[in-house]
Amino acid sequence: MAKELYDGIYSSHKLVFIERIEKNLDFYLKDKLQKLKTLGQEVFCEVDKKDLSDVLREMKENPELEIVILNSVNRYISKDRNCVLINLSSVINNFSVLVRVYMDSPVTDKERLLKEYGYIVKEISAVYAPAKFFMTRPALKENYSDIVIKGGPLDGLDCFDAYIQTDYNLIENIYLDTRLSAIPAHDIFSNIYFTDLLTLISRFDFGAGIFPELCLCLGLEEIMQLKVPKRVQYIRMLMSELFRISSHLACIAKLCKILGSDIVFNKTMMERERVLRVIELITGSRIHPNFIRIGGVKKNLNEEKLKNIKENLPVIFKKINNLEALLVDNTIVTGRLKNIGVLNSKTALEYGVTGPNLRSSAVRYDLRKNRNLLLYKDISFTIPMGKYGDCLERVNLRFFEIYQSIRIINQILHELPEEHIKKLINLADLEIPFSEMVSSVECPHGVFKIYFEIKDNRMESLVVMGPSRNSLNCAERILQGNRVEDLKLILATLDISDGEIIQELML
Amino acid sequence: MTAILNKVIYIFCIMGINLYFCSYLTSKVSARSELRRGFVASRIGGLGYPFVKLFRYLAKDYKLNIWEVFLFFFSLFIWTVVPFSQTLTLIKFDQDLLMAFLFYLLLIFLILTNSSRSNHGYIFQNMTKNVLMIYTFMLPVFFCVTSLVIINRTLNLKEITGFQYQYWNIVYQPLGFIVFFTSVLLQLKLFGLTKSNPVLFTENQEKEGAGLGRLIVRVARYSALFFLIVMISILYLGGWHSFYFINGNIIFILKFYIIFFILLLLDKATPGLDDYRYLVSINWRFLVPFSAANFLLTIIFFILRNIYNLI
Repeated sequence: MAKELYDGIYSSHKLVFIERIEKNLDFYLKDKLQKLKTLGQEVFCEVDKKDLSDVLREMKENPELEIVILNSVNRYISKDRNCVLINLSSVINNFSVLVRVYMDSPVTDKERLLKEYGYIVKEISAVYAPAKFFMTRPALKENYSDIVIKGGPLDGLDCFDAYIQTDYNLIENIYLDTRLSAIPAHDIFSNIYFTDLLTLISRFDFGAGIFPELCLCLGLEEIMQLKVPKRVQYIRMLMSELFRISSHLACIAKLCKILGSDIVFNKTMMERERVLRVIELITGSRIHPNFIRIGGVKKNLNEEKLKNIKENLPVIFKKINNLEALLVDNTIVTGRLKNIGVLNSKTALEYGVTGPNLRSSAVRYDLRKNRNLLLYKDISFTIPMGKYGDCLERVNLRFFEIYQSIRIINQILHELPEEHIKKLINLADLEIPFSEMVSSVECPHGVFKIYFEIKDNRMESLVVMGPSRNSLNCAERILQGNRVEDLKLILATLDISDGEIIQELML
Repeated sequence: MTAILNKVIYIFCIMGINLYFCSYLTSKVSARSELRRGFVASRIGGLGYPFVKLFRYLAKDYKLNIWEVFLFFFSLFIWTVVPFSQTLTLIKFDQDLLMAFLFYLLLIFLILTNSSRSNHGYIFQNMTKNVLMIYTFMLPVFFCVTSLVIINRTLNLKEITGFQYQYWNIVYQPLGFIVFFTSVLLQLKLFGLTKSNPVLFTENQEKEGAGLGRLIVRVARYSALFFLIVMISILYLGGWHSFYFINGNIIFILKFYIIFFILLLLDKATPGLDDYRYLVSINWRFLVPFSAANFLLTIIFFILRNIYNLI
């Protein structure tokens, strides 16, 4: 009885809170909001282009709302019209708002589109300064051309070109041009069956492919109002944590490669291999798992798989402990990482950075604790937090997160509920009318959020708001004043995932 | 004349065999530390790999630069004054220690001049910086060697070896040995046998199959390292003195390979030092003060003992 009550209170508490925010918004901006509703755990509103500036200013300056963070600005096509989707959030009040603005320009007219998009982003940047990163800035290419690094030479980062203006060996200004990774997303994803999208969406995060899948399924379940069995939730958590470990290990390995620490690099890759083999045993694939299904998962966990995880988990813990000692106790490594690429909490919040990069700057924000995500509320774990926000802190924090993930997996293995799961829905029989949804998960790089529209079981549009985009914007700021030699190191510790940078092509 | 020719042939043979085994050892150690097996088509077949590699270098047409010609001759000249044993020396010279280090300085100058070359000419700004940086690593070496010279009262390498018939110099100069060894390790990390260091070498150097020029640079780098190892062995570890019933020459070879192996292991175990600031700080904060302190202590000891007869 008490447990049911607890479950009920916990979930409804968040909804009550969001309803309150919605009421507040309705009260203050009644005339200017064309549409206002809750989508899942987020607030969604529609604003006319001419009211945009006033609405944003009210949202930022009103003490009851205090929406001070701009996470992303995305262009997408909905119902044959160009739209701009602005993602705003308030870490202090723990909620986020999506603002949609319809554009007047037709879909095919490039010049008008660029002009109008530039105008809207300019309006936004008058209130939120970091919006300038979402503009097209070709002029900077010529200004900052002392050193040009084309996509590829940087280890594992082929999603942008870097244009650097230097003063001897110090970076004065840097422009990271991400137009390289712009794709005609609308042409690719529109008209695709939403069930087919499940197999493709893991490409948006190479390092941890399960999170985009999970995010999409959570959104679809929210639309269908599905209640997912407890065992399924536990299996999803288990897989998420395994992928989190794998992704963090890949990040550390990348860093070791840059540091020239071959032994630690190889040992880290060996441990990642161990984790990937466990993942492979469960899902059947290593990078793109294709494991999460709407309302469930692809396969149940049997005794053999559980035994394998139980055997491997202590080994992984012990080996990663050794790795940490090898890497972080080395004075040469700490000497190179300390006091480099310092990201303070104010800058991190301003640029909308989330995940380990934010937590290393002494802000404790994690969707696993702050939102009602899966069944993390049943599990005892802590959110590690850093203090100084430099490169060394970010590396340390990733190690701590790996230990917490191992702790979570250990609890899941001991508390995995026995349930007989039956297949109740046939996806072929479903008919979804036009509906839109936002959902977010805490992926290893930060808060991964997607917005999608479905019409007659086909995707109308899909907007991916990855956290790496914010880390990249932030990198432009924190790289200033650092040495050119440290460029690779700082970018590696920020853990930028290529897939998340993918954006809609400007025709 | 024939005696000198014989000696030249001997020295060439020793150098060639050393190069062969050391390049084999380098590849093997680096492969093992990277958790892979190295070049083993078959286990014994791997032994022939440096030979195959030599042909790969020579297979491409390459126009030799004048600096590379200089480099080639200097990497051989350096061995004319260094004694390999009691009898195997080409030029008998009383101050051969001085001469040897002078040749070494010229050799590394040439290596760096060569490394600063790019397709668009020489990068002089980089070159001067690199040369000065490497020469600052010679400061502690200079202090250590001077301390040894004060103790042994000679500039002749054979006499320095002869002085160690009872106790090796490492007993008198433990601090000096540590500093000398660290300096050698840092120079190895800078020249980079297994992986070229971006502080010193431009990308042009490491282009695949750059022909004879690359082979010459590689031989020169090995030559510089061999010289330092031989110097460690002669100055601190007793050189070619026989050990009980074991022949002195064999002991010398053993010492050489043991030092080479330890240096390689340390090179692979530590992270890459491709940070100019960090390298310089190691040199000025640790190596130079310690070697200077060692030098001062030696001088004080020398004065108290020989001038005032107190010790």
